[in-house]
Amino acid sequence: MTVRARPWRAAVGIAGAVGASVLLLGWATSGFAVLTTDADRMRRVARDPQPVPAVAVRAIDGTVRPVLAEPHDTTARPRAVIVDFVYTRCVTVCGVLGDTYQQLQRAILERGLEDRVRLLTVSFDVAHDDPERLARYAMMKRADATVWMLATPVDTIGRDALLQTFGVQVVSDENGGWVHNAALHIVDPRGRLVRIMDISDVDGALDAALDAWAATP
Amino acid sequence: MGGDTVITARRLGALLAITLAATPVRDVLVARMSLHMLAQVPLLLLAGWLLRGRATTRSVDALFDPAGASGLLLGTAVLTTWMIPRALDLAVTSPSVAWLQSVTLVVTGALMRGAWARAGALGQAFFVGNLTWMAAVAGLLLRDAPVRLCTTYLERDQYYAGTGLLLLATACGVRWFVQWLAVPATESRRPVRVP
Repeated sequence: MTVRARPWRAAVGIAGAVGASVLLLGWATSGFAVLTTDADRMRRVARDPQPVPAVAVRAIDGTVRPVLAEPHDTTARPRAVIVDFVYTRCVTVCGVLGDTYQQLQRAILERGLEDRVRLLTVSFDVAHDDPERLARYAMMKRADATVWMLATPVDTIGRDALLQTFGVQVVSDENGGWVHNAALHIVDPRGRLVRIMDISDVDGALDAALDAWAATP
Repeated sequence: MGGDTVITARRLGALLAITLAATPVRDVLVARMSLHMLAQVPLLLLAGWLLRGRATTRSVDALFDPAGASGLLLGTAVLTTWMIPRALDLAVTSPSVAWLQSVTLVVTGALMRGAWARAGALGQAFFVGNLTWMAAVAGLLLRDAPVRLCTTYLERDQYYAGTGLLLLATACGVRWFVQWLAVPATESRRPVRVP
């Protein structure tokens, strides 16, 4: 017995298959816009700024303060912040980030932008990166304390909240270290994550930070 | 194929689906990008294929998909989806997406068993050509990518996944082609009949 052909049924079947295919692929690519998690994150943040939680961090001088607090109490207008995440034992991408931050620091000082933009390096290695180790890292990178602050969250709960907000995924590299997606995160003076830039885009990150500063009254 | 064999195959399919979707086996297989793409995804599809048992032209999906085109189109879309780096990341980090992955692949495997038989040589050639070409290109991209494309996986494993995907796609394409060469054209064009 062969089933009699019913064209409308076949049409319904095709329509269903096309609809389901478009839905699934559209979901996976955030509306046919991205293929990777990082690209999706960049797009979402640019469209919808994310408030950064006031996680307690310990700076290199040992003081505990909210993560985005200016290094010195001042009545001056708050600055935009370029945030990155590292761990000081890292031998791969963090080294690149350190060099990028040295370039950023030089650009900020040369262009006299230190009252508009500052740098913040957050270590996610809560157990290892105490103020002493961070200070050694800061010295190695020649961090200028007026522009470049370094800090470690005081606990893993705060650390995880920050990683979640910034969309940083830390994976074990199976050699006792970690691998993580590195980027330059632009936080506006109001404490909202407004842009995520590629780590190679030093000029773009500085421009985005200046835009974020200028856009905040 | 006898009745007992069908039941055994279906049991095996059910066991495989449950093992892959709801036991620690899943955690082991999705811990690496290569195993995720080359074992977890194809095995879930196989589980659905086995669960389906013997496809007939009287089944509901055959009524709505007489030529197998809808089933194979959906199969292409589902397999493409689970090659997208963002979807792979989410299948690891989000339990609900993990379930979405398992369900879509098992259902697709089941639908494709019938669709494959009804599609005939032309439909099969289109499907195999499309999917193997795409998977091979994806494999080459993964091998050559200078950066990690998945935030949950290591770069070295991305290279292995790319190599494996390239080999798997080539093997599937070649296998289908050899089988197609062996069947006389008249036979493959015969209409599918219900026994």
